[in-house]
Amino acid sequence: MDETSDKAPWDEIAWNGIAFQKPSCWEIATIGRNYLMLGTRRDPKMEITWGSTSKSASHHRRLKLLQSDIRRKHGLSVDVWNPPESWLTALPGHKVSGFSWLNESGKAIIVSCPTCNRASVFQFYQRRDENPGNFHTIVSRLLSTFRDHSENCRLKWAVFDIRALLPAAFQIKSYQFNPGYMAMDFTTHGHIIGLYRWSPASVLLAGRNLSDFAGSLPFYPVSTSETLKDAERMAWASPPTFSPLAQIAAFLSAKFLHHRFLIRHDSGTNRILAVRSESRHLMDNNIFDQIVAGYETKAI
Amino acid sequence: MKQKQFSRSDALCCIPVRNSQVLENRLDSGEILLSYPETLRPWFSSLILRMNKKAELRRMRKLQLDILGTGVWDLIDGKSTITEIIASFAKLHLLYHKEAEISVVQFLRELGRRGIVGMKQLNG
Repeated sequence: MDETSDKAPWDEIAWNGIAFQKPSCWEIATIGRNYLMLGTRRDPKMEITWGSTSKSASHHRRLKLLQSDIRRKHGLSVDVWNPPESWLTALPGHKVSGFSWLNESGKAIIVSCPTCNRASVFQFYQRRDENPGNFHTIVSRLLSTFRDHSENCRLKWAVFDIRALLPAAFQIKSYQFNPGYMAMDFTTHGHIIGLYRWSPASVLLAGRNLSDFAGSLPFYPVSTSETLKDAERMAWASPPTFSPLAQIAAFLSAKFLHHRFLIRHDSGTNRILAVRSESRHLMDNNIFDQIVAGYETKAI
Repeated sequence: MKQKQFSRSDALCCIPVRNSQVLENRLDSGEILLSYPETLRPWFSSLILRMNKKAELRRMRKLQLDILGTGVWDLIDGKSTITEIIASFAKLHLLYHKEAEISVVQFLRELGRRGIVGMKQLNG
């Protein structure tokens, strides 16, 4: 099905502060901390890079820097290009400038947000045989869903089949997306949250139960209380000890005082999901419970 | 004449074909043990021939597939393309498509490197 068709499925991508809707057939080809490249199984479709910039750098200056960067890196001639009205109206609260390269088959816009002071560069690739009308329809629709800051202090994360909602204060520290195993670690002042996802669960749990699987994990807690909720869900928590001596010992050895861990088997999607939380302070259990509730995988 | 460039989508349209000399032994665990001939390197073969003219220049090596590898091996029927195998594998284990693609391609590449499978072009 053509991605411009009304019936063609679209889904959301949300990563490190930015979010937008895209045709489902545009998959992540490359992922970086502030970079995404999306493509179909045949062609690259778009790239996006973003970052917070100093207030002193003007929108015009950012555009000039980017153009010279493309010229230097790729030896391509970059021309100023006026984006169509539909692209501009799709981003009403942003400052937008455009340029083109590759004989006009590549179209780029730099989008600055006055609210969060973030600049994002979209680069779209148009196939030579692609209908320009279709191309502009898809890009306009995609841009109209673009968000570069959260409105409610909670940040959405949606990549591959993972969906999570975290307090905006948590910054991504490390991530890995391998076949069968995906992990993301987030951190904020003395508090770490780890999200894990394994598949296919039917193979990983063949001949053993969830408890055996959890026991084989490197971060399996050794001396904490274990709560077996049911065969599909297990949780651990270490009773927080915040005596002055324990706090000094933890400070000196850089240890965390409060641990919580929950692992569950989602038989519907054939995945195993886990959330790990470690904190130097007494953590708010509501935050952990909300993260667990918002962490899921999209059914295929 | 300039040869047509072989793209990624062309590669995914190839049909993996099993080497007819590969022996398959299904174990009680459901996994498969493959025995495949390994041809010795030319310099090593000539060295062996100098020492023993009747020496066998091929030796059989073994490779045990895990349960996922066994699943992919069973899907190699000489008719299905790599794309079709990826789709069947993803459907079988409810895998994300990209995840299935990376796993299957990596596995087939390893089998190809050992000479256990070859690739047939759809129109070739």
